[in-house]
Amino acid sequence: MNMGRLLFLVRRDLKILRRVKWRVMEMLYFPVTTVIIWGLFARAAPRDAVAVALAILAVNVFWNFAYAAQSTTNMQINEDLWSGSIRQVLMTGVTGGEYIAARIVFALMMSVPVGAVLMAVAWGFGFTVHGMYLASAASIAITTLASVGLAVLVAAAVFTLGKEYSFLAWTVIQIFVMLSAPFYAPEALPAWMEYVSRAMPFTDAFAVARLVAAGAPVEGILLRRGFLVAGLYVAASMPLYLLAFRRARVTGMLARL
Amino acid sequence: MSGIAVRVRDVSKRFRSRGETIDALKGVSLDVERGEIFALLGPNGAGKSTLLNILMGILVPDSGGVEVLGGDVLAGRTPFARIGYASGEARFHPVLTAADIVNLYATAFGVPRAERRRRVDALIAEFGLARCRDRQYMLLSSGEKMRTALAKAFVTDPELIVLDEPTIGLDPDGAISIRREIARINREKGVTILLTSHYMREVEQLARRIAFIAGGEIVDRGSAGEVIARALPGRSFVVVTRAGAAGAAEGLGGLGFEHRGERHVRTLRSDESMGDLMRALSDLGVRPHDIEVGQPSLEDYFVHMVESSRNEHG
Repeated sequence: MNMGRLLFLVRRDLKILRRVKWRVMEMLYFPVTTVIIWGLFARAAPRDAVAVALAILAVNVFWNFAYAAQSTTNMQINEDLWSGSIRQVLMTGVTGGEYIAARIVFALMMSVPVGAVLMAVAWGFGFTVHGMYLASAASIAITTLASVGLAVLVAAAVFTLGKEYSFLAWTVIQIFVMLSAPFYAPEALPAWMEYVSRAMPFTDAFAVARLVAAGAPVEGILLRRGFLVAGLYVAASMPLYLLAFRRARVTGMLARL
Repeated sequence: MSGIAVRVRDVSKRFRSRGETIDALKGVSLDVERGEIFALLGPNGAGKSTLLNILMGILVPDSGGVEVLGGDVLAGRTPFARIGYASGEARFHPVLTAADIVNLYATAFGVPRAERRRRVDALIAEFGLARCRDRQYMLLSSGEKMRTALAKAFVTDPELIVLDEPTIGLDPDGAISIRREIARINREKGVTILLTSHYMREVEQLARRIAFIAGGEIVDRGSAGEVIARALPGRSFVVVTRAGAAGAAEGLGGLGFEHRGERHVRTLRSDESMGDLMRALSDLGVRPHDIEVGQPSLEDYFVHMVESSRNEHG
């Protein structure tokens, strides 16, 4: 891994962000407005439904943080494809690993502050972690890992299928969240869906978020399983991505992007 | 300076798409000597871009060997920092300024910060970008975009520059100025230049040697004078007909003329008499609007080669 080339890509992304400042708004707009909508719902909920509303609010914070981390990684790749500048980037000798690593670094630099803003907004509506800082931090770490794994999978798909599939950058998370049992326990789903849900990267992070919001104890198994599944996503997605990148060089996809 | 800057040996590349197989390169071999300007000519789809993509590490060939400045490209040892690449169709992120682009690519190649600032300023001045250095790429004129691409290509003081259609889309004034830059770079810095272009005048002016690629194969190579003399021995004989002179093209085709709109071109061999040819035209009922006789140009050569390869490959 050549740190100079990685730094070049991160600096380039930051420079583009500085030149198009409204992109910061784009990163914040949907996540913040979504959290406000559910924050208002929590505030307006009847007394006996407040706990449920706060659980929904907590999941939304994590969901939107995941969206920010994953979509920013993939949107940086899309920027290169849409502007046609990827050839110039690759002709610096940037490797597939350096390319994705730089996008992940930039996405984390952007999404961590977005996550902090979301937490602050949710706190304004009554969300609290009830002193469960370690469980909350672990849940954030699981969500981050899972988002990275998903982003790398999308990148692999785009380098395999072509830039027509760049829409996956902002659509893919929806299906994964839907199958991750966001607002209920996986046991509440039909049996086959429960199995699918167990294999989803956000299931345990969302479960922890709901428990933290309710001030209920978090079992260690949830965190361990969360790390294991999210880690498996990252471990599986990286070789797939590197294979897709290498194949794109062979099939000519890289030259056509 | 002597030696080989680019060595391509027996390179083949086949693309497969939706059941269709395209042989983009079929056993291509060529050498580009250090310090020369070498032009790769050929019609669209001949394999030029495929070859450039292989040289720049964007594409992997099915077989063969490629060495650039002594580095084995296929083994992943392309010396990127010693190679500059500029294309007339190069695209950078639209919001980055000319200075941003040169500066950022200097970072990519590990140019130290203090040196970077000095080098960016020097290149901006050298390529006439001072007035637009802080203008976003999307707001630059075509000529300024090409100058930016050239300045970026020079950020590491490279030994080899690959120029892909460097004057495409430029007005004549802009194209002349870019050509002048290319010639100056080669003359003053001794940089090897590998060029592709569809502007034969440009190639004639700049290149010491050319290779003609058609159907994925190099079918001819040598200096412009050599290849023209080999393919079109004798003088060129051009019959200009009036627009809409129906039937003229068909008749002229029978006499071996190649058609470029109202201009019909063939070579007048040393054993042929112009009088006989004029009589043949008269017998065909062709009434030329004008007749030009001269030495065949590289453009005549290009058209001849394209037509020959088309006839050969159907």
